[in-house]
Amino acid sequence: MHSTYQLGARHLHVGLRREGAGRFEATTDSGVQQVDAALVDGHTVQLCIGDAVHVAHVVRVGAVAHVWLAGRAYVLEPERATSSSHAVLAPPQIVAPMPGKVLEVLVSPGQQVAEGDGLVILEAMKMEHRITAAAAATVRAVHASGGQMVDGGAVLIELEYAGDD
Amino acid sequence: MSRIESKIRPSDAAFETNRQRMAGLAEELRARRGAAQAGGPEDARRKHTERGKLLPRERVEALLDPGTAFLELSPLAAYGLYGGDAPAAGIITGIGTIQGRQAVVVANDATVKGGTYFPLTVKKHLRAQEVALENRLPCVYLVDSGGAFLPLQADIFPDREHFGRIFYNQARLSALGAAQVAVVMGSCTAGGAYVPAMSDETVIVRGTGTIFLGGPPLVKAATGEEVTAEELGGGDVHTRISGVADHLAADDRDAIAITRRIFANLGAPPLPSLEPDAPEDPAYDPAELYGIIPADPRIPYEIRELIARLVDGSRLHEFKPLYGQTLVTGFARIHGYPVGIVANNGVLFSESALKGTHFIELCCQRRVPLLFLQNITGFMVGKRYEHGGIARDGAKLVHAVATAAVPKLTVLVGASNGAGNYGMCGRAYSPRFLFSWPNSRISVMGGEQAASTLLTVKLQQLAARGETMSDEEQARFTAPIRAKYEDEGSPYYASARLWDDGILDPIETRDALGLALAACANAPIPETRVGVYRM
Amino acid sequence: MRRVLIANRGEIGVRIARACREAGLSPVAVYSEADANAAHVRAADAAVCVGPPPSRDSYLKIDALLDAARRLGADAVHPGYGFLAESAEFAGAVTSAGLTFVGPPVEAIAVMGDKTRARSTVAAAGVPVVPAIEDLPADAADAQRAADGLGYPLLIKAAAGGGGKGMRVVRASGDFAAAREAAAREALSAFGDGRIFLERYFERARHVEVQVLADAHGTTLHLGERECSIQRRHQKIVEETPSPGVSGTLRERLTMAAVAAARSVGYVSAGTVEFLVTDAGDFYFLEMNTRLQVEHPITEWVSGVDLVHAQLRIAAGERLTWTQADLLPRGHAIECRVYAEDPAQHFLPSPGRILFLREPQGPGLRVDSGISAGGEVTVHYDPMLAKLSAWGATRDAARLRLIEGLRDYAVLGVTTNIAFLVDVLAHPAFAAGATHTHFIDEHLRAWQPAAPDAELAALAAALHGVLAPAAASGGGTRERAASPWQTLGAWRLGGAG
Repeated sequence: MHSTYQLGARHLHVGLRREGAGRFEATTDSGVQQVDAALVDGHTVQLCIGDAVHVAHVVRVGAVAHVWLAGRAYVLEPERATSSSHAVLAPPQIVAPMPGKVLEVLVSPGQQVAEGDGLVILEAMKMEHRITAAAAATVRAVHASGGQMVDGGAVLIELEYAGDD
Repeated sequence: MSRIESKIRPSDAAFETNRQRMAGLAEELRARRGAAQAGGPEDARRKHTERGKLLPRERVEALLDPGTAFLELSPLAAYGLYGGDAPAAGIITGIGTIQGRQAVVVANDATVKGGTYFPLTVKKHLRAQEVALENRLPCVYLVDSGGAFLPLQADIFPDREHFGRIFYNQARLSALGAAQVAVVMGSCTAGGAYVPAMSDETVIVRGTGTIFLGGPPLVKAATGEEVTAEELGGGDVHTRISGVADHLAADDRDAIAITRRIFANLGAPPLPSLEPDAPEDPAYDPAELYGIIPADPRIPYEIRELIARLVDGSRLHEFKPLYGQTLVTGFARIHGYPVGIVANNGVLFSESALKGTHFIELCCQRRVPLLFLQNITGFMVGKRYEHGGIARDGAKLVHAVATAAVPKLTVLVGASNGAGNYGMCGRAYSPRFLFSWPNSRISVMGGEQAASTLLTVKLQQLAARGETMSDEEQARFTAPIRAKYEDEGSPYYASARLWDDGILDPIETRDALGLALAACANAPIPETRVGVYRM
Repeated sequence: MRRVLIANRGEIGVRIARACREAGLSPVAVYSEADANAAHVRAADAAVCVGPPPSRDSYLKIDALLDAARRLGADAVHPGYGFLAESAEFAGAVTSAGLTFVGPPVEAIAVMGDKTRARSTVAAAGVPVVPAIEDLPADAADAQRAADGLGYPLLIKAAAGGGGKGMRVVRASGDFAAAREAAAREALSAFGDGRIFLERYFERARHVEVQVLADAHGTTLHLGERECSIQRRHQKIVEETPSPGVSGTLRERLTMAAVAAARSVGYVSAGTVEFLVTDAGDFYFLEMNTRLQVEHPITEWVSGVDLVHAQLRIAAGERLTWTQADLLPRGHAIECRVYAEDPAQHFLPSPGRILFLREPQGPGLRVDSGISAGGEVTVHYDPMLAKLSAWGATRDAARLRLIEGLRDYAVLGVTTNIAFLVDVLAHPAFAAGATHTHFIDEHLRAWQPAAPDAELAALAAALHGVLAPAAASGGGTRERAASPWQTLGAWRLGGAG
């Protein structure tokens, strides 16, 4: 059985293989070790690793585990994509999602934009679409201007993301 | 699964504008619901209680397990219809728990025109039975009705989905093992007499409950026999002589106590088809939903912001996040129950339709219920898209939605126009539950589009005759079209006609969906079989 | 006196109920709609709801509280601390209703509740007061001139307030105008009274307070001082007694001044006189808290006096049986306040449900708690969960005992300041007794929680998943995942449930 938790930016991997009653081979990021574990009551786990004894209180809510151990509380979240993936996934070319009329270009070349900042407002299918930056970036080029009719797929803006080399 | 990261800033001016507008809509909803819940006119209510009878809402409350939920259905049925004489269409329906068992409750409101059935009363009664049928829920009928509202008999009696269907449904529900229990707490005349007669078990209240095919006046006219209602078909008659009813109750409260004992003996409930995880509150406050929906319907909004305030832990495991981006698909949980979410984030393109179709197949394969969040003005139009076969791809989505055998739930959170309504599981696609938001708009196309489309056609006709229209004439031509769409596109217009199961305040949506999903878990989930997908 | 209405909630509600029982009195409680299942309700013999969750609609509603007292058959009212504890109007209303107010006379509350009247009254009794501008001119330019005359840094305070609300430090003349407006606004919204006054501000002063106890027969005693310098956002989080910075002669002068201040208003019951003590050993009267203090347990540890019990006896008209000579402090005690707040996020409150709770125990440890597993910490009230205090023969013995107690204090579900408190107590400057009101800014400004055992915690979580699959629980009270039909209560469309 394998679990991955997330604590802040840190990923914590745990692999468990049952070797006998209450005995497990546990693989964590720092290596493989034998653990004798027992459930003391519904929310208390006793762990013996070598001759060291640890007591943890655990409450799981949905996919989140709340753990108290050695005077500290840990909120272990399920694994999520790393925050840098925004930049990885974000397209460098901002294209018109459909044919329409550019109402307003909100940025100019060289400008720094943050995640979520508006780039262009496009009117299409009777709606005003606000096209935003998926991650922090620098505007490299602007290919559209207010009032212009554009085709679906037309490149409006080119961005260079902060993480790009 | 990734937590959705909200980019909403409640300090933004737009947020506050939106919030105030939605708060106003929610307030209006509360007021209208409140008025409908009051039932019939004051003197009718007084006469009702003077006879020792409980008001219909008191009956429902007493029947349910204390301190448990009641998911009322279509509380604004008949809103604005029948001259305002039929609040809630004179009938209360919903799902609640009795002895820990979820059940559909149908209660006539005798303070509304004697509890008679208007066309929409029939529709609401049948819809409640449909909910019971689809979710395999037992039914309790708290009967107190004078039968059909005779002035409108032609719209009530003969058709497939008319009065007779009530008894057809009772037989079929009973055959499926969904217990049918009737409690006769008032009159139950003519066709209505079949409600208790068709039930598995029937309770009748002495002194107020009567069951007969023909009442004393009709008997007198037909045979000359003079008889009182109690002698003809009262509680004693039916529990001692005819055997039409099984339990005699001293009064309403006694009848409800007997009904609760009946439920204690229904036997083991079926194994649930869905198992909840431990529920988790959304990471973002659902109250912020008010500030997310733009006051101007022309402004699209990020549907993930809405999802973040509906689902457990605000976690959505998105499927194909980079493809067909105008449709958001992904797995999440609501009150611990798994759901596959299909949500609009712009107009539908071929790619978005294909993505939705693929995702629905995944959910059917894995037996995960589907939740459709509709905010759709339609499929993309234009030469390039028609040539690309958008109708063909849209049809795939419609086919997948139609054949999906998993529980489907739909919420109208914005526009619901055209084929978008079909592809996103509108009423015609039999979602187990369909709710609207007070800001939603439903019509074949938007009022603005309809006005300009009709105007274009008109101008072409005139041009053929060498005529034209001034700007003023054009405005006069389009104004009534817009007004008609404005009126008929309103969620109240829709809810009054049972096009949905009720209008929800956005902040109560998560709980309503959780209750609905738990209700869906009562019925087994069959395997999905599909027909021919046009490729 | 037979039945005491506790007009409060949380740990102090529980604490007072306990003292009532020991004194042979029946404790009865009030609660808001958010608190129906709260610990203080369970601690009482009977309880009634006094209104919706916001405190202004419940715990601060005088007529609702008096109505509750009548319905519950109470003949006395203990206000606790906070809420209406220092409201002369409330004390007056209680007395007018023919009930006993467990606290000082109305007039003493009224005088001490008005900062300017308090200053002049105690100054007349020979108690030193902080240089201040009491009658701040309404005109902006005049106010500016008055402030410049007093000198910087200075502190703006609300005339009607406490608890840090409406308080502003101004370090330069140019910042005064804006700070004055902001403070007045905050004071108006918090206390319904926008009046403010100015005080000289001492950057590295200590906050020392003296506990007094007076009966209605002319006896006024002190129970030593408490050091309350460790504060965040102008609110105390660690308190101790005796103060490590107060010498024998200074203690003598401080306690005499405190008794004089109490006598100057004819004080009866337990009260606290707060002083600012400068590095030079000068001290100034700040204010008198005419009520039981949050940090009263540490005084109880070293004096052996049960202050709430004493309050009840005094209210019943009994005489104090001690003389000042009987009240020699023994050992050292430290208390810290456990809050549902995030010290890494500017101490922002962290509401939520308590999923798990295990409080520490052992010799010389005391927990004053107002929470239980499954309970909800709401946004409506102060997020203090409990107070943990420790006694030791020496300061260091008490400090180490308290650290161990905190390390054994398990709370899950809400973020707490427990790990932060450990780092305060373990800090070399604290160990050396070098405490002052800017301790946290100076030593722990950018504090972040350490996660030394994250791997082991993840291992424990994974093992729990294997060992207790059925207990994939939503918290201390629920054993298995339940459907919303079981969890939502009397849910209705429109929220009327």
